[in-house]
Amino acid sequence: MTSEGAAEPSAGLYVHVPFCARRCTYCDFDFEVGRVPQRARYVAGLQRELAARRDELAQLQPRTLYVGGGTPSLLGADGLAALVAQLRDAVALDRLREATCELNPEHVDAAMVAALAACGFDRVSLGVQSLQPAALRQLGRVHTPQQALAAVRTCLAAGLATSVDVIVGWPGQDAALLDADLAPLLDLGVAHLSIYALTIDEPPDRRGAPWRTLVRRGLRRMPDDDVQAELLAHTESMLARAGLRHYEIASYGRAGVRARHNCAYWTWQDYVGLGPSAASARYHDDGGVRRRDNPRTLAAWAQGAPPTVEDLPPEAAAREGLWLGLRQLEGLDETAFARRFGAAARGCDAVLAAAIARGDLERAAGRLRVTPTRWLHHDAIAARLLQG
Amino acid sequence: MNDPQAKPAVPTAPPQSRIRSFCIIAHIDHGKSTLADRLMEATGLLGPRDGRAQYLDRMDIERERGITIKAQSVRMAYTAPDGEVYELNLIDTPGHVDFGYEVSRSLKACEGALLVVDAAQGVEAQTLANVYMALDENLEIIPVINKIDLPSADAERVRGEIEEMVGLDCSGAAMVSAKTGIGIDDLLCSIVDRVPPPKGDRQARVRALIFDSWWDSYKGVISMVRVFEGRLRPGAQVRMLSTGKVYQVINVGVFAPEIVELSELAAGEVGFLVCNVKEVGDSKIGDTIADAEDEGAQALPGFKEIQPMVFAGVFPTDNADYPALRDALAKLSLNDASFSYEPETSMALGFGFRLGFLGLLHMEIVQERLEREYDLDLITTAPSVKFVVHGKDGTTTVVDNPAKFPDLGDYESIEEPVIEARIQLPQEYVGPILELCEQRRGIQKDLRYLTPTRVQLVYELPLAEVVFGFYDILKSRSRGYASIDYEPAGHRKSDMVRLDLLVNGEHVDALSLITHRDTAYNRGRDLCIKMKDLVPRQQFEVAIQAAIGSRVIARTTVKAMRKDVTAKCYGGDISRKRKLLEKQKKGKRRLKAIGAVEIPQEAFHAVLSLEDG
Ligand SMILES: Nc1nc2c(ncn2[C@@H]2O[C@H](COP(=O)(O)OP(=O)(O)OP(=O)(O)O)[C@@H](O)[C@H]2O)c(=O)[nH]1
Ligand code: SF4
Ligand SMILES: [Mg+2]
Repeated sequence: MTSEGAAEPSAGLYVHVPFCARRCTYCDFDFEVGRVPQRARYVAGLQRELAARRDELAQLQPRTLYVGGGTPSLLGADGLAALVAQLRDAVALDRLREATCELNPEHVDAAMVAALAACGFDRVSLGVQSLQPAALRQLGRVHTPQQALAAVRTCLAAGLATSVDVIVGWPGQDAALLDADLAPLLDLGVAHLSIYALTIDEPPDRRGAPWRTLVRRGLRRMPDDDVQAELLAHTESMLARAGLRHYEIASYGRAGVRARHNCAYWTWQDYVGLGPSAASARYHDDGGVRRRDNPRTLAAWAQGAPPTVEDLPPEAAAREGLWLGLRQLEGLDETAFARRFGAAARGCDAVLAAAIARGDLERAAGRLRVTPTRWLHHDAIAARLLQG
Repeated sequence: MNDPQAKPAVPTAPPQSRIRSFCIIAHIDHGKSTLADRLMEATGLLGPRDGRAQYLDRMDIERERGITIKAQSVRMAYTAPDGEVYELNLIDTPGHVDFGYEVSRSLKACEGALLVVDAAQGVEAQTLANVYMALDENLEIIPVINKIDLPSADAERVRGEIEEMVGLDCSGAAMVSAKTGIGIDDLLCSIVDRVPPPKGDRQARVRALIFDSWWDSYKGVISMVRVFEGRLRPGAQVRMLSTGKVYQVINVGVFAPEIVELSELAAGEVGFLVCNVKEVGDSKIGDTIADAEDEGAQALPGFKEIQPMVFAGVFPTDNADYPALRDALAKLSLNDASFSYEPETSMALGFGFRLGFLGLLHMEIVQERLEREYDLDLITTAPSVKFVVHGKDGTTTVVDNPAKFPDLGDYESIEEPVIEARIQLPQEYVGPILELCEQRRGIQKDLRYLTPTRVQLVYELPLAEVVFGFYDILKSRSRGYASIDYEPAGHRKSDMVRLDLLVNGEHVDALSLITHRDTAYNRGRDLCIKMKDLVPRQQFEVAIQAAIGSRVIARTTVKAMRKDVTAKCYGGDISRKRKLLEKQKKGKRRLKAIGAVEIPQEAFHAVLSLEDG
């Protein structure tokens, strides 16, 4: 059980690999599609960023490492090993307590898994999304259900902590089809699941997901909110019966199994993100936080374009902290909250009292949490806390 | 900015024989403002670098919507084939029915009018309405068939329509394309040949008519005038005949196409005047300016005062913005004197104002200007008309606010305003449009074939029925071919009732509307259905009910929102997602909380988009 958070300050290191073989239909991430020659540019860009942030990285003693994307496994076993070696030269990686790599099922085989373990990864996150061929087609994923199940088996057999990503609420899915996605994974012994509703964002400032265009052409439907709500509730009860705790909005784990790296986000820890579009956060003693977002595109990042830096004063950081902390279903630790945000934490008393009076939040055992029946309204609750 | 040297000198008080003043009139979108561009170009007022199309549509709203709202005057110098330089005063006018008063005033400043008719569309309702106004003013009318470059243009048919429907001789009609510039030179020649020069004794004491006034942040109150006698010069003392107040002329000039100060405006000329008046109200449209010492000066014929036709409540979404709204209204009314306003209080919406408008487009534009130019966030209620209520005690009151309309049975009788509408349409659509007019409680006055294929319907219709979505349905049932023009035609007795809406059991006064008893049931039902889609889902179920008096006649339910949660949110997303959540507030512009339910602007206007049931 590692909701240690504040008890043992830790820092996370995130590395973004901006390549995918092709774009999934629901995805609006920034990455370079299938352009392998760009890899040299990425490696050079990473070297440049490591050098530019030398001082910051020298002080960092990350407890978690997360290599995500994009599709890191597109780099291949050798590419990933080279990436870790490159990191090791600039950052002390000897205190890591968790090192995760995101993998697409079609890239997983025994050799890949062995190579990952050899360079220090002890956890993988598999982008399975669904086990239904129709769903995988809609979503634009390239793997088959068989490949997905085989990948899960391979990772578990190699002793890697294995988390599986599953998308819920694609058009056409019902409770039975959802069970058909979850049950085989549980049967294989998966102990951590990342479950999220299919969401087609509309980013105002850049190209959105292909899904929208497909909808316009009559080839896709938009997911239905009511159905998704039902399926998310169904997921929660089904996984609870199987012994997985719903510990964060999108995360389920067996007792003691958590995504430590992600927990740092909900418990207001510092982290450093490397690579295009990667984000970093650094909390100050007064509770304020500096957020830094790297340039989004590979081209801009590799050329050394400056990041976007935002300094949130303690009051704003504390409001943000409520929103993030409350993503944990067991709630945020109020003592840790007070410690992190100091006077600004007390400044939240009035909005919290109002939220409790409204029935949005409740207190239980030193923690403050979203009322269990209301987690599906987390955004509305958060918006009121952020604005209040 | 352009090099002023490159432009021809602005003519100043040439002999009257070398002055021509004309306005451009037409149905909406037939190309008046584009034609004005070409005329300004041909006379060197606009150079190729002044590139923006419809140069005279100066306001942002005009440019965005591609329509003219305010008439604009410019002065040009034209060297005719006879070698003489003529002073041309051009007034571009709006075509939309809401702004007909702008046309009627502009006519008073002119001797001629260019009647622009789209060669593909032909004669439409505002073509006729405007040409009749011009004929009443005895103007020389030059038909201009425009857009002859269009593949669908049929100049011969349109020429026939103008002759038959308007009764104008079209042998001298100009054939132009305001887009490509074909025919512009010939048109300039006919303006000089056909528009009569102005008359008026320049030696006499000055008399001028104010036909427009507005507030300008640099110059203060600017008035457009037509000088009928004498000369207006800076420094002179003048008297406004309606108030008897005396002012000093600060400067005079013209737009060419931007402001140019001149030494004088002489009888027969059109231009602007700035006096030391403080408020637009002191330089009233329709007032006569005379020499301060001319005790016996006679007023020139002015204008009928325009009366607002539709009324709506305007409320800040944030009650704290009430003072800001009050200031904004005071300022905007300096600029647009055609809307009225007075304070109003609503139980649901708090403190606001009841505004009177010339029509729905005018209402939209005023709301948009208030929001944009004064950075306000407003809710406007559904528009209403003015009803005359005869009480049981013999009293008579006028009610322009549904919330103040008496309860069922608390009155003797109601009179509602009616209009006389002239609807022009191709004969194949007569059936569906007759049906529409009947559904809308119209009384047919006339049905006439203007040409073998074009029909004019004259109907007396309740104004309220025309206000509520009539125009859109007219357009859709005629595939866009029908056009309508109307004018007030008094009141008639009608069986009207107040329809109330309840949101979660709470009566929302600002959502009440007045409707005929026969259509009340259908309206109530349709409104509930419509509201269901417009009221955003909340965390709980919301009941929407329509009621007459205490009797609920329809009900719908807005289902509770089931899910509002960001699926995944990891390090990289935090800043962006937080901003999205914070922005939900900004995104909530034009939302008003009624109890625990947030009602968006569109819901207040739901009644405008009801199809007929
Ligand atoms: N093809 C073609 N299009 C034209 C011509 N004249 C105007 N238009 C187009 O017709 C549309 C309306 O033109 P405007 O000049 O704004 O019309 P208007 O009569 O001033 O419109 P209102 O002031 O709103 O009544 C614009 O899209 C013009 O580009 C023409 O001669 N040929
Ligand atoms: S969803 Fe993941 S794998 Fe698919 S395109 Fe987007 S980043 Fe790549
Ligand atoms: Mg125009």
